[in-house]
Amino acid sequence: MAKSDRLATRLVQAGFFITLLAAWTIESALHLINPILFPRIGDVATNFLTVITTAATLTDIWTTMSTFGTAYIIAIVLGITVGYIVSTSRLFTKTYEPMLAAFYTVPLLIFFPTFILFFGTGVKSKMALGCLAAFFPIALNTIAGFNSVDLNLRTAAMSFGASRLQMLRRVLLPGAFPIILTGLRVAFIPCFASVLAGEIIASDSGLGHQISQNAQMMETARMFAYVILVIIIAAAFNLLLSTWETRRGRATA
Amino acid sequence: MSAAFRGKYGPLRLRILSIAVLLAVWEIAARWFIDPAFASPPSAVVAGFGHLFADPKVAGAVGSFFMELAVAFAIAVIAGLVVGLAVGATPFNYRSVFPIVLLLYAIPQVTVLPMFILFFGLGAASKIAFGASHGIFPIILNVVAGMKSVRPIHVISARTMGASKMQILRRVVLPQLVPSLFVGMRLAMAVTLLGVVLAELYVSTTGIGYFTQLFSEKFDPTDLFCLITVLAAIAIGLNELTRRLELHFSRWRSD
Amino acid sequence: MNAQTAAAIEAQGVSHAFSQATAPLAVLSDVSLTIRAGEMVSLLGPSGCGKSTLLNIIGGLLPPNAGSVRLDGQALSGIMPHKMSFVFQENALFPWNTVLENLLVALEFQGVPPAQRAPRAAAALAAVHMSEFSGFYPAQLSGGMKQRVALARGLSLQTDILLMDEPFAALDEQTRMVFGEDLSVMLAETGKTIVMVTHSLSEAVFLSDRIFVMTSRPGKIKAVVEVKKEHPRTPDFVVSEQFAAIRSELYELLHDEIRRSVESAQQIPKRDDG
Repeated sequence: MAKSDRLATRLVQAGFFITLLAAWTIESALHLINPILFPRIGDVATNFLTVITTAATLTDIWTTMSTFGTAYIIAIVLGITVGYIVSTSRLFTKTYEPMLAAFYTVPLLIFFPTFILFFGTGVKSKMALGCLAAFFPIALNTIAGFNSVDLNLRTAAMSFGASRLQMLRRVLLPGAFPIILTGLRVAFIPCFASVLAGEIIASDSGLGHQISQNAQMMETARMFAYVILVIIIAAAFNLLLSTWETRRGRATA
Repeated sequence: MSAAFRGKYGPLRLRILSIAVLLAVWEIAARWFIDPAFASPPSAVVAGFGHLFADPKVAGAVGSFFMELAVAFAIAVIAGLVVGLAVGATPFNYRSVFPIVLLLYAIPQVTVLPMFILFFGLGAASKIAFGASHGIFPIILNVVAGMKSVRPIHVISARTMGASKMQILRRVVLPQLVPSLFVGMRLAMAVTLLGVVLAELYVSTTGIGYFTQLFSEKFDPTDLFCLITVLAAIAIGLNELTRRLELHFSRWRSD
Repeated sequence: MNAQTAAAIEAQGVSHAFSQATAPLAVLSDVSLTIRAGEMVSLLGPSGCGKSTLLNIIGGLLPPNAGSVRLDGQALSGIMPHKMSFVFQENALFPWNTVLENLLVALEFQGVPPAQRAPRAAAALAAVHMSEFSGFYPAQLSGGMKQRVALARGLSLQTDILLMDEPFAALDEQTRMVFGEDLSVMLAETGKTIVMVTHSLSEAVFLSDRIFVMTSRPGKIKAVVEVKKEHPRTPDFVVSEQFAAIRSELYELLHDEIRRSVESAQQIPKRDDG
């Protein structure tokens, strides 16, 4: 891409954001839209500063993050275990892999009311939802990963007298690792988004709860502040994931 | 492995057996082991269908849900097609606008759900808008990918035979878009569904959200389980439909 | 089949270079040639010598940086779909259309009235013995069959001039032999002017009336070798002394050029239509 081209595209992109911000600032100054519907840029800014400097926010962040983290880790353990078991036999793979794939297409959110029924509106219901969301991609990728390990490698290991455990540790896991890792990556955002969704719909704590509550109280500027905070966190996650991916890509290339 | 599961229909038989076992466990557990306020056995759920959907309000809520889904999906496809064609049309458009699309795509949309409700109200409009805002992305992404996959040799070949720009669009570009569009539609259906469900559940004053809340508060969760089963069945059915459409329209593709 | 001496295609002082980030890449340098109506010529040279570029320029796909091309005495200003048709390598067929649809759409592009499209397509497919495969998709055909369809597509357009860019490149040895023989028969029957780009010496000798031997990049015409033998040429021509003599002559001319081009292996863009 020629230098002038690169400059032009950057200008268009920068222009997009500048225009949005400018429009918002002008709208705020001229009081064009009802502030309950769409807050003034100044109010959002002040609320944002308040939010990030309040100790209570840390609790909310911690609630959301720990719920997400726990859900994710449980999903990893369950997903890899189930995935491994299914991958051990062709029959199991042919039977259960399509079922898992089909079930994955259902918006898992519809089960959230049952989780509330079981666990109440505390963190456990969100954890269950996040765990469910992450479970499927991890399990499916684990199945694919283990099945992708070259049959020749497995045969060679068996001919050397490898036990089942040794086979798992030395041959299967390293071979399946890249695909399983992709599954972990794919599961990341849906897990986080599900936890947030659960907090927004029915919760008594966490960042999602703050967004929802402020919306209901018509404190739109404060709601915006929390939304921006969540977007920043999500963007940080995305950045983390993509740098990790590029680094891995470079290493394996 | 037991000989019962050999052969072509082995997996199918195992699947049926597994589901049967699962249903049996659920039935036994729900009847005798779990507090009936928390779980309802499959027999009760099946029996409860008729009674539940005889209630016009419940049927109406599911009907509205369908309507919102259909409209949201249609908007997502049409808008996504237009934006996708515009973005993919020239390399400049692609390089400048596409990163913005990707950026928007990376934001967890659930965070702006309350905002949508504020803007569009508690009625169908907000659910349609929210659903469409989810579905539009896979369409844009896939239309752009489809346009990028148009091979220059085909365009050049057409030119040498005297094709006009319009003819190239109709006979060379568009046919290559169709499979990509249908892949996009399959994905769009799944996420539009998610968006509409999310919006419905959030708004607990009407629609499905109202009924899930209502049913959760009853001592017998049968109605809740019924409703969820119906929603799951709808989701699986729609996905299967779009998957088959996608396969049908991708027949000539070798990749 | 009239042995016309009138020039169908005339290139004068054609030079061309591709612009790149680092420095322009000269691919053709002052190429002049004349192609008579009804003859079959090959542009033969090492990889990267600009022969495909030259073909694209002759076909009007690409305006040269310098020099000109005349068609029947008229200056060439762009593509002329009624006078020239291209046959590219096999992947130029539209995979989403059947064999028949591929030909019909080509005729539509050229502007043939709807009523005439089906008969012309059918006739062209019959000429290449692909009629039974009308309803097949390209993905279902072998490489040789796809090339026959591509040739049929070119023939159906009924242009006086056929431009072929390495039509045999993707085919295996045996299919090439058969395809070459069929092509030779067709040449004898239709009397079209054919310009073929190839890097295969044997193909050039078997099919051409004249062979333009090109140097390595930037390409110039190094020599013009004549093959005085009527079409249709039969398989025994391949084992004749005449064939061997011409082939060695070509080899002598090309050997150094090929070595030079292999040693300076730099990728050039395969197609540039401005």
